[in-house]
Amino acid sequence: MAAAALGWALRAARQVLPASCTRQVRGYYVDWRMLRDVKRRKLAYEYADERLRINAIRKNTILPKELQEVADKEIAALPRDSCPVRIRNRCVLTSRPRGVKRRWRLSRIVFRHFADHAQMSGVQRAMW
Amino acid sequence: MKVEVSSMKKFQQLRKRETNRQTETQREGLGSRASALPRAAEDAQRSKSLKRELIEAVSAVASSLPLNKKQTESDLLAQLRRHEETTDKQKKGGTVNIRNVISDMTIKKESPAQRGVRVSNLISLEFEEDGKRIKPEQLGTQSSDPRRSLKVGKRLNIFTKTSPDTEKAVTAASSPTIWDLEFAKEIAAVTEQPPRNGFEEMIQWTKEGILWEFPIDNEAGMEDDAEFHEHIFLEKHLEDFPKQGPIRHFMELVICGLSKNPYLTVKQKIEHIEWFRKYFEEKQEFLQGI
Repeated sequence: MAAAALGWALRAARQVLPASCTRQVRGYYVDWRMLRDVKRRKLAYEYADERLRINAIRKNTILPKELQEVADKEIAALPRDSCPVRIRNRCVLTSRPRGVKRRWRLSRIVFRHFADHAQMSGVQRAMW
Repeated sequence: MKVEVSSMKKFQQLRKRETNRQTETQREGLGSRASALPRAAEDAQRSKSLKRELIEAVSAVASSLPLNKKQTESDLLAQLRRHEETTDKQKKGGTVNIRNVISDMTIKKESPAQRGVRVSNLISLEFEEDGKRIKPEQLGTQSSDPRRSLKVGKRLNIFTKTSPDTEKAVTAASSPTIWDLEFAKEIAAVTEQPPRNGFEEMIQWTKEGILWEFPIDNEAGMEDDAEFHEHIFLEKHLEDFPKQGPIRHFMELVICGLSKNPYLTVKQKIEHIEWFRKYFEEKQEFLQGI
């Protein structure tokens, strides 16, 4: 059990790279929370179509209610990580869950660090 | 044997014989080979018979001339021998008959554009990395004559035509193995040079896909081969559904939404409808119970 969990963790920690790439095969995410967020995003992408269609049946006034109840049960049976609501836009570099600007996918602290070192293109200190 | 002593007559005879020889050789050159063959035997006889007479004539001439007799004799004999050699060669067909070669050729008229091209080819503006000029290596290789085509003229029969079956077999047998691919990648990696300037860098980026191609094509990467009517008129996919009832109503709404969707391909839309069909088929027993 522990060995399986360890194996799964190792495999999960590995970054998925294309076959032609010759970078190092094992990579690391910043922390486990970031890894779980990555898993959620992947699953959400996989089940996106199905969820859309089942929800189309559910949020309906035309189809009979019994059918909609069945659809409710079906969507609840899907894996919990497949729903997009569980995705959190974390900082890409520090995995900070709060204070993340969407455009740069960076937390406010990292953003300030790069902007002050003039490594953000087109970003300037505001003065007016 | 009667030998005429007077020198003038001898010279005239010699000249006549030489002119005769020349006309004969010319005739042989111009005329057909078939007529030359029976002539060749006659000429051989004639030349042999002439030789004796010529030798006698040569000796008579040499004796009549006030100069060194032996030298004049040897010179004249050498000349006659040369003449005979040329005639023999032409009879055998060894010498290049210029008439045949020139008759097919036409005089080339250089247009001013071609002349300009030729002159500009002499002056090259390309520079090597050292700063020295690259000289025009071969002037003849670049001359392009639009009037001369490749297919005019006699076949040389140097190359044999490869049949298309062998070509197909060759290409089919050598489907690129992994080793071939790896080798090709290695070669590409070794031979690639870092870009010399910004233009080459941009070219490399465009090949990789980092940079778009200009002028920007709005449909770059979009491979939608379907026409607009395949996107909009999707009712033909609704044949398996019941004609009446809430399901039909629902599916018609689905189709209305899909027809207004510009982001999905026709395949994706058909898959969407198929999923619903499968879903409702599975639930049919349940639906009949309602």
